[in-house]
Amino acid sequence: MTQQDLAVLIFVTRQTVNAIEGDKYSPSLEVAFRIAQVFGVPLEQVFHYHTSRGAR
Amino acid sequence: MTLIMSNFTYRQKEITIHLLGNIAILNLFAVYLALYHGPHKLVPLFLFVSWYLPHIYSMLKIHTTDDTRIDERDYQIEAAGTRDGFGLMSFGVFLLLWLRDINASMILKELFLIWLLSRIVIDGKQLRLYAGHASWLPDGFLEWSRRQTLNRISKPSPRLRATATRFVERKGRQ
Repeated sequence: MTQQDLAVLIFVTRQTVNAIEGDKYSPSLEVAFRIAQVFGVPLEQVFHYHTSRGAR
Repeated sequence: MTLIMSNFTYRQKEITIHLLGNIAILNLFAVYLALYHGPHKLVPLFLFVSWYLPHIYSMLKIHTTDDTRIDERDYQIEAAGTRDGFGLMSFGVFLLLWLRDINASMILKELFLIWLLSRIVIDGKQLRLYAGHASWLPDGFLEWSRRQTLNRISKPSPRLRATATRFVERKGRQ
């Protein structure tokens, strides 16, 4: 699946998918759930929250 | 040789054209202000040209093959840019009212200048966010600032710790 294919399925632009993959953008809950739904996995498997994120 | 803006999204191209157009108008307006100190008759003309810019890049939309959809990230970036631009506009208007007597014929030029500068800030901020930065500040400084904040939160001062302890003890006695 390409970024464009995923973008069409979750109703965002390809650039947004690229930004999500590059950790440059945090999607809304709705988009996050759509991504998980597209891949057929739980949300926690797609997105992880790093508690030390602010310390990086 | 890659063309300038060839790897830009449609939205980035749109904002870039708007930004460049407003900078060109600002330069022309600066020349106009320098030459004509008195009458403000040409300000509506500048305003019209600046407002007409969207029509220029709407023609781009007709001929482009780019994805012209606008999604949540675009709205979020637009909101961040608008926030900065309107903040500058508010500050400029406040400064103008503070420094000058209210006289419609005299402040029209200044108001237009403030509006133009705020549009440039809005577009500039959006382009910076699209480029992957988090704000106007250098990314290294932002990371350092976040680390400092996190250290302050995770390691409270002894005085704060003592106050919290007293509060908890007082609650326990009640």
